[in-house]
Amino acid sequence: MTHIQKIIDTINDFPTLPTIYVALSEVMANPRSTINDAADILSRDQAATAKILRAANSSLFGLKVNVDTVTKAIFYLGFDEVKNLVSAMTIIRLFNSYSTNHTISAIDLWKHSIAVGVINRNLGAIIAIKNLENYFIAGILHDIGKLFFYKYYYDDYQKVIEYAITNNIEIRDAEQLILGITHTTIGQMLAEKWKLPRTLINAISYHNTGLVNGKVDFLVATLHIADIVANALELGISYDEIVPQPNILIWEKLSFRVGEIIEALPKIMFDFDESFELLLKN
Amino acid sequence: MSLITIDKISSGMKLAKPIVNKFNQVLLPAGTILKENHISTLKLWNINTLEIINIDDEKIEEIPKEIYDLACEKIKERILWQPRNDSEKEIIDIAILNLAKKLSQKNRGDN
Repeated sequence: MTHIQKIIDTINDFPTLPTIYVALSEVMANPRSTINDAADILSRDQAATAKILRAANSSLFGLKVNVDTVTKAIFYLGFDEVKNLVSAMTIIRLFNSYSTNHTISAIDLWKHSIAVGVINRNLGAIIAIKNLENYFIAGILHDIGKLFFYKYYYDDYQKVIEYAITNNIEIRDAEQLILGITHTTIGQMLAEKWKLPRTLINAISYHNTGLVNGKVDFLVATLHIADIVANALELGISYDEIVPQPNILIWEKLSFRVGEIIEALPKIMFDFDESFELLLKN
Repeated sequence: MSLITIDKISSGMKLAKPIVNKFNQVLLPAGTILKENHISTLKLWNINTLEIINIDDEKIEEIPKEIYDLACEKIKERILWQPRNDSEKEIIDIAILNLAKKLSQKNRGDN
């Protein structure tokens, strides 16, 4: 029952990201652009502006200033983080479906992804990564392939989930067996279609192992852990019943002080509630 | 450490992080124990959220032992591996803690 070609055709026909994202990317790629050029584009979308301001003031980003204009948001969060927030919002909108006869809702899948983004960003901050702009979005997008299956191949994917549960195997292995293609490959193809930066494509492709070509990459390694932690905390649904053990190799490079993960729990839960409200409610 | 909004603070709470203004000048250092007059001043300064020490530690103590044990058992059904270092141990610990909190809230709601 494999229909890889059909699946690949669906990806090829899949919409590109909305104009606001494309326009922002163009402005940011142009070295002569200023903050005001990007702010101008964003200001045309009132809903996006409002959400970006709320996000910028949320505890996740921990700014000690009140951000009340888009220009300020770009100034304090940086071009890339603001662009990433726009893509998070637009991609969530693209994939959210509210079909009532589905046993598991897309919201539960998004909840898991938002949790991974929040945890990833917190873990990055703990190990004192300076450029955190891709940490939140990497979590949001890491399982985009599952959302794709959910939206376009719901019945087939139900079989995948049942198979994984009955045979007690990881969802990724069940996808390979039944559909002939995994959510990580699908995610990678979508990210390439959307022309997302290489860092994010790697994050989507390698979050299951935490390694990029056998080497530890900080973003991919923390994402690997964040995925496991979100699963352990049962925030949202990832379709994996069993919590996998982290890849031992990533601990060589990721070192947390004793107690740091436990101490982060209250902030993670707070950030999760706040981000969930922001991204999934209206 | 816990993040709380200004309307939830009360005197006796201890700041986990310093409160700074937009020029990054420290208004109240970390470790300050809040008093009534601080609270009104914080409102005046338009501070919306604060990070507080220990609030959650107090909540942990409120979780009855049988609920904590139940959470341990449930987590063991989903985490089938043994921790190989402190970080892995902490991942299991927060899973138990989080579930225990959820179960005990549910319990309180039912009663």
